Amino acid sequence: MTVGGFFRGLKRRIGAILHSFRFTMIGSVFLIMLASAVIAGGITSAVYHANPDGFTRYTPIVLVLIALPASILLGTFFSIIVSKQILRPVDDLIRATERIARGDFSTPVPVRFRKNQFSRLIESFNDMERELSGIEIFRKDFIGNVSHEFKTPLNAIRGYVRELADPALSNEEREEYIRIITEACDRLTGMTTAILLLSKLENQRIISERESFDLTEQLRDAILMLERDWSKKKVELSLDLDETVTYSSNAEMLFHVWENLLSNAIKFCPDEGGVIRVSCRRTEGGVTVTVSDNGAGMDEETKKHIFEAFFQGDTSHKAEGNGLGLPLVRRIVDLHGGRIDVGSTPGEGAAFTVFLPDEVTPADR
Amino acid sequence: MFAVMVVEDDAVTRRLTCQVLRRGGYDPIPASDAAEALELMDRYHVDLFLLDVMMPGMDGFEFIRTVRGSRYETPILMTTAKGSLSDKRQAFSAGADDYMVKPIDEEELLLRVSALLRRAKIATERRLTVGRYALNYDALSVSESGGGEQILPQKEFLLLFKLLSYPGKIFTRRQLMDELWGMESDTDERTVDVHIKRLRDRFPDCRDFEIVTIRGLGYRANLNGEDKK
Repeated sequence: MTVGGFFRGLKRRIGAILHSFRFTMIGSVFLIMLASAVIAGGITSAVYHANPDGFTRYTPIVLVLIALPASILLGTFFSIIVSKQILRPVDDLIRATERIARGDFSTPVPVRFRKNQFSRLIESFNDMERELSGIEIFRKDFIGNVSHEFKTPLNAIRGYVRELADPALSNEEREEYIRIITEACDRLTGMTTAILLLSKLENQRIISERESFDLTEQLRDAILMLERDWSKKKVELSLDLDETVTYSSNAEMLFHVWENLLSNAIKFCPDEGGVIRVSCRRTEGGVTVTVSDNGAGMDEETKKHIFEAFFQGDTSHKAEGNGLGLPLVRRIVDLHGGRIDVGSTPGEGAAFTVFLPDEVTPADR
Repeated sequence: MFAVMVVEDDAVTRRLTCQVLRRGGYDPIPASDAAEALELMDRYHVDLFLLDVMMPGMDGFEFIRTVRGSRYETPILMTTAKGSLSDKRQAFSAGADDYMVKPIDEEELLLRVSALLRRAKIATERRLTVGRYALNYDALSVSESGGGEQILPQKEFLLLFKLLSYPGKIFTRRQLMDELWGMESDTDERTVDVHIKRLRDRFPDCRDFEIVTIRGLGYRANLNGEDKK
């Protein structure tokens, strides 16, 4: 270790000591004692020299009897003032805890001291409060949204089933109603499956059952699973999956990512001349998969919200989705410690790029 | 008419499934649990089992093991409410032939049942007829009606047999490799390309089927005269 390094280390240590709450306490007590001793001494000496009544003989015992109570009284007085200052953050915290217990997440606790243990405690407390309020908002919104999203198809089913009971219905009408009911049921099913999966993933912190597999083959499997959809729409596939890309993860979980990204790409492809590009490459520290389409694309505003549950940017495709696909994708990518980027120009399509790092330890997240 | 036994404990689902099968031209035999199914098996001929995984008493997996244990090769299509991969694996390793996740699309059910029956027929007869061509699994031979007969090298024959058994279905090179060369094989996936090329050369002007390359994905056999998927 160099001399400079040693002094930097020493400075850091001294700094840490100076900023610690314990030092503040000890320092305050020392200063209070010093101040009250000095002032009490001053008073005593002033009394001695002034000799106000002229009779009393100021023996040492008399002087001590004046100095002691004066010092005790002054010390107590200073302590009251200083302790109020020092313990203010504690009072703040107590009040904040009571406020949060009532479900009020509105105001963060002010940080009164720079960089001591208390300010760190308050900062973490504020972080916790932010997280809690996030969860609370998510929970409130989510339940509200879920109930609404379930109610709509349920109402449709109920209504059309009652309509079906009408004997005067024409065959076309009957078929139409049955189609609507079936679609509503499919919607409910899709939503239930997605919510179950999402809630399972929300409670998950690490990726279990990792195994090594070829990512390009998994992408091909996902593409094949959606064959019915892309061949019906006559989508042209441009696949760059020739290299074997081995990756270690939970295959089943990761499959949902490709399934969702691909089915989105198919959904937003134009009816004529749709092209979907898929590529998968080993990049620095992990793998990068890109899925792009040449569909309607999206504007900046839409881009900001696509990963939120139940958000659907394009209302004309509302019936085909449930607004849970991309939140699911995001969650899975997050669990991998990865990244998902969206590039899009309205009218020219969208490209989703997923980067998954190779190894991730829970501590890194 | 093919007899399909529906082993399902939920009465509503059982009734619905039987109805769908009847409409599809099959003869459904309802059974409310595994024990009843085993009992009915002695009395009726069954061509295919449609089996629910979660049932009171003996569950689906155990039922498959019992059936397979007594050397019944009847195709089994499993249905389950859970769609996890481990479930799927367990089903296939127990001896199921196919696996569907509830809720089940009726049309897809009928398609899968017919595909399973078709495959079972191919498997028991060990031969396959495509237009004017007849493939004999034991002899590894392909004979053309009014034409010659050729004996194919084993891998080429198996490849052709596989593709023609599932017309319209795309297989990735890896899937074909795993099936024909085994999971542990180190053979290059491009070996499949070489075999496909040889097969195409063998049947240069075949009009009954063609092997199509799907770029970036794999291969598919199209039967001419039938609807392409």
